[in-house]
Amino acid sequence: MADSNIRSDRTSEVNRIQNESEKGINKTIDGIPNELAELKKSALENIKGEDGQPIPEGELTDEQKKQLEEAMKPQVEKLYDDKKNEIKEITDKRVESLKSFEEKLNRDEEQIPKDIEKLEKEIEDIKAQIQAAQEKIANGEEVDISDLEKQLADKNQELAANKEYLEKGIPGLRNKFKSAFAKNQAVIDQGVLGLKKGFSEYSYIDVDNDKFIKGYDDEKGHHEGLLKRQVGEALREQVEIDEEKLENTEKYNELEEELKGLDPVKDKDRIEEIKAQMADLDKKRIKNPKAYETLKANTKKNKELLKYAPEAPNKENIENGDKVEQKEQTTEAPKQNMNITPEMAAQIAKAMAAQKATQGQSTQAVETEDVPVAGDELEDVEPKDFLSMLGYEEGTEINFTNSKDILENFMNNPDISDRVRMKMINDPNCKDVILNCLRTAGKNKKIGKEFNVTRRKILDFAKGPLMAETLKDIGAGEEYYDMGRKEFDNLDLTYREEINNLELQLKKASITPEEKQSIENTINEYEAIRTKINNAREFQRNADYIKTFGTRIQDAKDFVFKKFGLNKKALNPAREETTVKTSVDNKDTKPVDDKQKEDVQKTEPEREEAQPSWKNAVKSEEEKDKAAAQRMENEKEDKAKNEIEKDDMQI
Amino acid sequence: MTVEEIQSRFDELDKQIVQIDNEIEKDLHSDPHLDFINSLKQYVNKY
Repeated sequence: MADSNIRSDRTSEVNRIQNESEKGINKTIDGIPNELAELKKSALENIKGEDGQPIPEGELTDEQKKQLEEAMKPQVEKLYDDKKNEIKEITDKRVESLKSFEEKLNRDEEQIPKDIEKLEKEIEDIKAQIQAAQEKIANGEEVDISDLEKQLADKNQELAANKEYLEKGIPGLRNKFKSAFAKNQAVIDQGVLGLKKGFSEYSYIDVDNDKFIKGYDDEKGHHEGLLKRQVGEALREQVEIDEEKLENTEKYNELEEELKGLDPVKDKDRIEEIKAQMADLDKKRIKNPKAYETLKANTKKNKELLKYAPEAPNKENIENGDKVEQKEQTTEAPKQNMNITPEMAAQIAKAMAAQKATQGQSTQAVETEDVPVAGDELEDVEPKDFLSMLGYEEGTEINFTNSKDILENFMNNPDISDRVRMKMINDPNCKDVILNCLRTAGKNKKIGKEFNVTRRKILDFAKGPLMAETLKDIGAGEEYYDMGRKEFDNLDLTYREEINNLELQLKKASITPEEKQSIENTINEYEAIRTKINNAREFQRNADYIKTFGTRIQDAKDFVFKKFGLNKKALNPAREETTVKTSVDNKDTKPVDDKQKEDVQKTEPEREEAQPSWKNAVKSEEEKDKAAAQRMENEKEDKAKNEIEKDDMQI
Repeated sequence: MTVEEIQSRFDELDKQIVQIDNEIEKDLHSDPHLDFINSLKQYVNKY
């Protein structure tokens, strides 16, 4: 092949790769800043000074700035519409495919029971024929029933296959459908939040109230737009799944490194321990380094996008088609320091007020003393009272069946105000029951996925209003919503340093009494802020604590020990603080077998892969009996293990 | 439906949903810049 041909082939191959790589939502939203910058550049070229030369943006007069804005507005609006359509085009395609799939599934779900009914009748008919033939045989007649017996066997096989498909096949497919649907919602979230981020500087672009996106049509009274859920909700769930995969991969790599430096003889026990952990993590990590890098970059980007999403999703209202007022949000990029201006403080206060108003509407909270329990006296609430407050009978045990319901009820009970709910989450006794429910529900593979939504809600709740209240107090806004312990430490350090500087100033000989008083006031103010920062950090810790406990006990131990350097006793402060022990404590909680633990620890796609397909699920009665016997044996062992673990937790 | 028909129906639907899921996954998790660099590296290594 000639050199020029090779070059040409390679150039087109590189172009193809680039085109292929740059498809999708990421390309659409990543391009916004550059395209807006281009628009601004060309609009600026048309605004010229007296010398006929374009004026740099920083030197524009107010009048010229207005002129620039007006010149750009139609083009910015067009760009916004184009981007919106690109997103719609990408996601609509998937929605169509999903719809068509779901229709097929629905048709089967409707048709198969009819087929089963028909088959059962046919089987009864064949059986009757066989019986009649057998009676003839008994009377000495010679009748060949082999054909009828074959027909019966075939029909029975067909019936079994139809039943298996209905009971196992269709639900399995529906799970995969739900997972794909949720992912598509997350893609839409990516797009919408990308628009909010990309156009945040242009106040006339109102993404939140764009009917096309928000999907609510006042006249028609139903959703027609892109979003079927609160923006950010699906993406937030997806980020959580992705972060878990990344964490598992990182943990696996760390263990692998540690293993390399260990002595096979001296560190034998540790090596065994690491190998066991690695074997477990191996199923849940990302093995391909490139896929890991891509997911890491993408998750970081998605987390950035989520800063433009409302805090507390209100799924029920959206699903019911009710009008959802999104709370006012700050669209500024997250701040890196504490330079809170008075304007920002006013904006934050406004946002918080709007948030409170929205929360009041969405939860129908009763902010009066009419609530069933006096919110101010929650310290005296015992776990059994806590359950009766939620409408459960006294002595109700927490088990696999009701734990998720209790949590749902706790979050949604209209008779309990958010104020009381907030107190419950921090009340030692109530928190104990909530954690117990989270632990129990979290271990149940059957409710695993739905439980994650509930857990997320509680986490959002624990993190949201509590954090918001405290953050408002310290003058910081929603941009600190995702702050971790380290960031809080840094914030605290900033104030500490500032206080040190002020204290140095106090020592100056030249200081006037007025100046001294003013500095002392500032120091006191800063000290008060530091106290609030520490409160916020404590709330953050509680939220993480709930989240982690609800997921995995073992990981909770690692989490608490490593992240906070706490001792074993600090694992469950609620138990330390109270001696209350009732029937709702987990003494009656059913044991959890290893398979269930394994399933809870699996990431979503793996959990689905691990479910038996309808084809494999058909077992002979003998096999089923064997499995049941084995299961009982395992349960006995696990019960003993579970007791040990429980005791360990109570130390 | 016969056993064979059910088998084929299940396979067809399973294949379809896996394909849709893969496409969405690509939309959701692709980083165009990183993908491009990775693909380009592969291409360069190939030659």
